[in-house]
Amino acid sequence: METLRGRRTGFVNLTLITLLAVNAGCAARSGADTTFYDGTMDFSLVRTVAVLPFANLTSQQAAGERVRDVFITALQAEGTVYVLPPGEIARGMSRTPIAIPAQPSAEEAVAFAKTVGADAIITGTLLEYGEARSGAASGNFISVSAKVLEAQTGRVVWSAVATKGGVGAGERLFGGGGKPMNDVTLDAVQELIRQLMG
Amino acid sequence: MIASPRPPGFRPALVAAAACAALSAFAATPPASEPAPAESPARTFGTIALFPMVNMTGRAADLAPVEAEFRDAAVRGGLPLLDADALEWFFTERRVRYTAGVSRSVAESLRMLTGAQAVLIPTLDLWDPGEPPRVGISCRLVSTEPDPRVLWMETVVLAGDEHPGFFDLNVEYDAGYLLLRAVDQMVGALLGARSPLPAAKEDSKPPPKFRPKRLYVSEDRPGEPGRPVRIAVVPFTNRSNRRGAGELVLLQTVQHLLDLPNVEILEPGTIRQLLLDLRIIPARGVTLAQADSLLKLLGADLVISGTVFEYGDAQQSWTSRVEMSVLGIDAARRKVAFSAFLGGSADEGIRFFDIGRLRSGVSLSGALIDGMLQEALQFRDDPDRR
Repeated sequence: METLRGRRTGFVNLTLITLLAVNAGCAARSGADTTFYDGTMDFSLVRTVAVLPFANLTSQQAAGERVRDVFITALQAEGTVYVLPPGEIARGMSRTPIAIPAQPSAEEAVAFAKTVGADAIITGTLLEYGEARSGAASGNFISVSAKVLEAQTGRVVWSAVATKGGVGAGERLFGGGGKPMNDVTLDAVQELIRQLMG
Repeated sequence: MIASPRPPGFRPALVAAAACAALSAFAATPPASEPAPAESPARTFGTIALFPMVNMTGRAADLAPVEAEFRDAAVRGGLPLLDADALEWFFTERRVRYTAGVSRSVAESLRMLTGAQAVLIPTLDLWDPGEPPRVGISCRLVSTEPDPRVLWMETVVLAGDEHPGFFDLNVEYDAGYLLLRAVDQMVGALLGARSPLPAAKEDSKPPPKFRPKRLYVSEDRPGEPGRPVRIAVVPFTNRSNRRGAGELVLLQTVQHLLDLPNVEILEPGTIRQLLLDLRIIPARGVTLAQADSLLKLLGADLVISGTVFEYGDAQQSWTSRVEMSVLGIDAARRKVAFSAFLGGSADEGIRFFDIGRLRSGVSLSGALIDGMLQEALQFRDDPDRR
């Protein structure tokens, strides 16, 4: 009797350990999202936003521009805010230069927003963009962060990070290269927008 | 290399008659807002200037035999082409160096000096003599009116393994022969064109296979109601590894815009000349001030631009991938009219035996643009849309 109970406990422990291991293996798929949200900011007043060029910390050339373009289109497609066209942002930056577009100072943000006529400025940084490998399995993944700066004061009122893709249980078990890069990018961008709108 | 048998069913007499009819239709084309006159000026329609073929393959290609075959096929079909020597004389006389488009000044002087009433601009979009080979040719017909317009455009893309048959018995490995077939098909399409009016093609297309990944469309229709929307497509910014992808996508956009009702497409050569005159390089997208200039000087209601991020067209990569963003600015309202992100691979949606797989990036980008335009731009003067 004692032996049988001991076996059962051992089986339960083994199952729990296996589940934890599988869960840890899949952790990269969903991504741990971190969001800061300023409760005093009334986001319903934001009608026009300017999305500055994203900083690209990856080795992939033009990846920042690509992700920014997806972000602009996806945000515009939500229909809740008007996103200024990229050409207008470039023109604004030539008139009101920003030393580091991904990290504008409060003064730079205020001056720039005034030039282009935006209620808020969105900056972004592309942290990871590429292919992850784990043994024989591989999968595309992306990690991107974004911030919203209020146009009148230049302070950060929202900030979030989204990570998508990577090698999951499906890739480990059945192989394959995971989802295409543009689908993973869209997922991450949509996650950021969901956090912003939510 | 260029010694192709005519395709079956190619009858010169019929083709010549069809060509005359097609040309009559082109010549008789009134401004789209006016009804067609009963007595068309078809009889006064003179000659067509066949410009040199433009290489958009991103690699070296011997264009001379293709040009010669194109000219021969067009003449065989009964197209009244301007004499090659006369065209050469015109280029020298007017010091025309850019022949991939028609500016207002070139159109005017060409019409005045040679009597040509339209210009035919062929481009070689794809030339891959690998095994199996792939070729692609585009051609557009531009009027030489004071305000040149694109009247007709077509693309033919052929791959050697398009219809492989049992045990690959039907795979074509001769790139030269494939190119000749493409030229013949192109000339046949030109001769078979009934009317350059975009409205004629309305509702005749099947639903698109590729849809934009993300799309925003403004509720406001660009331009004035009751009048065709005048569209200017400016060169796309190319961030891909494929040389000339920006220009290629521009031309494909122009071609698929012609399928839409109630639109008038400005000739890309005219837009290019204006941008040069104004010292404008829209490297990072079109600004509202630039859209203003295009509205004032060319009457463009809608300015379309974009960025090509990926244009995979390599034979070795097995499946082509294309990724781009497109932006349309309503010039009068100074607002974004539509914005889209497009992406896809040539094997998307393929389940069995490669049936339906696109064989090249050129076909894929065309399908992506077509799908986007069909969803984003439908100017049917619907009062509910305003």
